Amino acid sequence: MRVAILRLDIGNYGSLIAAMTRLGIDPELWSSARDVSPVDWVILPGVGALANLYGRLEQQGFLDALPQLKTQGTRFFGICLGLQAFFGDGAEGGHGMGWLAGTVPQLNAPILPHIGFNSIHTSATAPGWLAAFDGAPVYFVHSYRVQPADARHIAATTVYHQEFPSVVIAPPFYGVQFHPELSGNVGDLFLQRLLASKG
Amino acid sequence: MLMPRIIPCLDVKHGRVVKGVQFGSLVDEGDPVELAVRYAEDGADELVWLDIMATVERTQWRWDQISRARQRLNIPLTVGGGIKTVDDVTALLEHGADKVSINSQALENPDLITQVANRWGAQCVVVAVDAKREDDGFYVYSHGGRHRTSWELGEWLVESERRGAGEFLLTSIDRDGSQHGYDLALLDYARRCVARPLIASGGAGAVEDLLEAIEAGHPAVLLASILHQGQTSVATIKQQLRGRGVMVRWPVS
Repeated sequence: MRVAILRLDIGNYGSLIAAMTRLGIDPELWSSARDVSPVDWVILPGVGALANLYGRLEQQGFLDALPQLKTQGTRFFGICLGLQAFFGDGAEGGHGMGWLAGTVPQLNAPILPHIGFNSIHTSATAPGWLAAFDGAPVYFVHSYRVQPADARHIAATTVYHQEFPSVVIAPPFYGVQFHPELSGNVGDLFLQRLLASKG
Repeated sequence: MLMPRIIPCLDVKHGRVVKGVQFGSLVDEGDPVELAVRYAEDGADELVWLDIMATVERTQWRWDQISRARQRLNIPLTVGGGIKTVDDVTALLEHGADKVSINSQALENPDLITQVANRWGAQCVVVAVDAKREDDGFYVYSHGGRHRTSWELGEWLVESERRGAGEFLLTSIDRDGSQHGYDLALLDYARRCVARPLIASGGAGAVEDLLEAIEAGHPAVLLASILHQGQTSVATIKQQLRGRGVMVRWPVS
């Protein structure tokens, strides 16, 4: 399986690369548009601020280079901020790529960020591999959430003072608001099942 | 529902885990990487790794230890001690830290909080605060509790939050190593000052101490000497908490 991680200069990828290694995957690290070619998965990792993320995607040439992959069998996996980047404008003022219709509002909670393990509740329409994770605890650290315009794209939700989408599936886009690479053994299993799932 | 966070702390000196009493004498407790992995396997929800000599001696970080820990850990790792510049943060993140903890240098150069938050996001910046009770309130100390600053605790928390702190690690100097329970008055006061998560630190000696903090609204708790001296394990503590009706992440596999 060919997996590429976008290497943006604002993030830290040690945990994600270590998780891939545990799964026996040797990910490609893409730094510029020159690296872009059809692969099984492109991962948008999520650390930083949405405004910075968009700027880096633009500066490193990914905004122009990535869309062509959408029709070449490549699937996209966004983690936390990477999921938020699939959508349009965020409440933080940053742009997303606008690949999915929806917004990125701030969580409505007295204490932010939402940090720690919380459970996911899978939707009735969730694929079988995901439904097996109903109730599973995974690690969150975020202050913003996504609000897809199409509710059918919400594959799981989580509650922190309000219910918000924690897994979004709209092939070829797959996104999680949590960090599977930091979610213990459950997270490793989640990554394995997601990457092996059939589009 | 958000679960409590049980966070073991590794105090590291010259590449070895040590544990002191009230910032005092130290006992060697082993290899930090091995201990970190054991804690993770036992059900720790996060780990905090503090190089307690880096600020005092200006010693160089042992990056290879962080890298080795990262390869084997699948939970968040916060690393701190002696961080002075954005370059220090870059190096720690490149070696596998998920968050950095800044203490003395944030007091000397508060702009560092802003710089790190702007570049990597507030969630990457843990501001560690060591506080001591005095007649008229709580005051902030730096350099591992050695120097008293002029900051009143609440004022420093608010200033740090304004500058982009994503989380606070609040240690009671009075309770640290005492195993007499967390300083709930300190935590309650800090909770009222800021809207960021707080990690309670200093004083955990029994599962009742954790229960007390969690029930008082402080769901993130740091464990140090209670674990290092082999009194109990993270797994035992989590099972005991579950037995008392607290929903913690368990089992972990």
